[in-house]
Amino acid sequence: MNAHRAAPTDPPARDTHEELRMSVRSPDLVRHARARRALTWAMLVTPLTIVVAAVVVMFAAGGDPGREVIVHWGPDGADGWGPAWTYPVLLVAIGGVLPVLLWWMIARVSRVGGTAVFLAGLMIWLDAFLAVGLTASLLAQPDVIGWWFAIAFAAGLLLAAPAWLWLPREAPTASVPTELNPVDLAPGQVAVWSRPVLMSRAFIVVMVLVTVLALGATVFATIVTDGAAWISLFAPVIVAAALVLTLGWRVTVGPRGLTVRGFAGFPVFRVAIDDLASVTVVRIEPLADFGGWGIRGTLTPTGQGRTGIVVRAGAALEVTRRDGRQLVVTVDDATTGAAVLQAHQATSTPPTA
Amino acid sequence: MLIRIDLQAGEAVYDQIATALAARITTGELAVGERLPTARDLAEVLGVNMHTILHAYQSLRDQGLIQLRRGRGAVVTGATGSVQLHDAVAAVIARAREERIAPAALLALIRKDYPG
Repeated sequence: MNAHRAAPTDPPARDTHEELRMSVRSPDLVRHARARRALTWAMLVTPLTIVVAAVVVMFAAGGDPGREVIVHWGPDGADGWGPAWTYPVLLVAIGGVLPVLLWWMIARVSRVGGTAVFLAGLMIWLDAFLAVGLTASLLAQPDVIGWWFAIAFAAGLLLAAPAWLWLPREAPTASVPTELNPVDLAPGQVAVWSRPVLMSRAFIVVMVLVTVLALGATVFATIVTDGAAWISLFAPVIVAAALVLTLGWRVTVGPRGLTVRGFAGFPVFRVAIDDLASVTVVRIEPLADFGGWGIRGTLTPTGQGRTGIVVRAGAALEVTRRDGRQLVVTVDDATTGAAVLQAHQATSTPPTA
Repeated sequence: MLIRIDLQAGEAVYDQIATALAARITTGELAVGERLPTARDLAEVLGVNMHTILHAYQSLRDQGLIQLRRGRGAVVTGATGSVQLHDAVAAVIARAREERIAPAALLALIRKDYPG
């Protein structure tokens, strides 16, 4: 079918080159573009459309936007009043801002995975829930609020379900191993490599701010509910504990294997040298590869467990155990650590069956 | 931090570890304020007794290179003798320049009398 190409009137080389460039455009890239476009529709366009529609309905229903309406219900019925415009403002402030923020964060990841799809559905659910709940509260001004929120909850699930079920997800791709500079060892010699790794200061500051805000919000909620919301106080405590336990790690490798220990002394992850099948260095994109930071679990392309200790994007030490499970830890100078492990793997004899 | 030791050599393992770490501290590869791996982790990946590592750390502490604190581990404090040593090395380098001795030749001279 390319017979005409052989003719002496071949187009100049530049054109051939252009054609080649088109033909090497990987099908993976096309699939990624499609998955990302679908994600934008689900995470950004759909939720914002719901919000806009609800705001239009609120204003179309008529009435003075400044009129007094019920804005709060307690366990015994209505107990708070305010201007009617509170409703659209609240809807836009939460339902309009959150999808934009999340989309802005997620849209740049290199792979659309399960986390992104879950969050897209969550945004649809949240906005449908708020839109139905707040519009119904404003227009119906019921005596008891519970039923309306049950309906709003169900409406949200109904709208979010298609996104959760059918949004295209990209399968994790096999990690591309990095060429390692071998560590030379004289006979009888062993090498030890150790390195601390810490979350970036900016990340820690943001997490501390989030924790403080959450603490403030839950303390406030507990006070205004006369203690009824005390259980919410656990949320900031759990976030703070997770932060403290995962913000810094010490990675140590040697002839016996790999140890990764949290700065607090625990948790600890170990891979014995006899259990080591292969080691390499990969580039990690926290959101795309693990759905976030901290201690993360996901699956390898072959379906085995893949644990990630992720404090930042970039180079990470990746070890694969004999049973196929992987441990990935983001750490500077990972190539040296991997080379040390490889040197000892080569010299150690596998256990006899 | 990367160190090599010979588990089968005649020299004591703790001494080799201490020497290797001292060299890293003197060259600044292990900076002041940096923490050393816990004795437990090092012992684990090396397959030696934890007391061997602690022995090495105590020796480094006695040389004034690290500080050992319960609960905080080993922290590099820098070499007390290194200021004089740095001055002496600077003097040797200045002298070598004067006599137009190439760096490689100077290193060979040092290696001859101080093979390590």
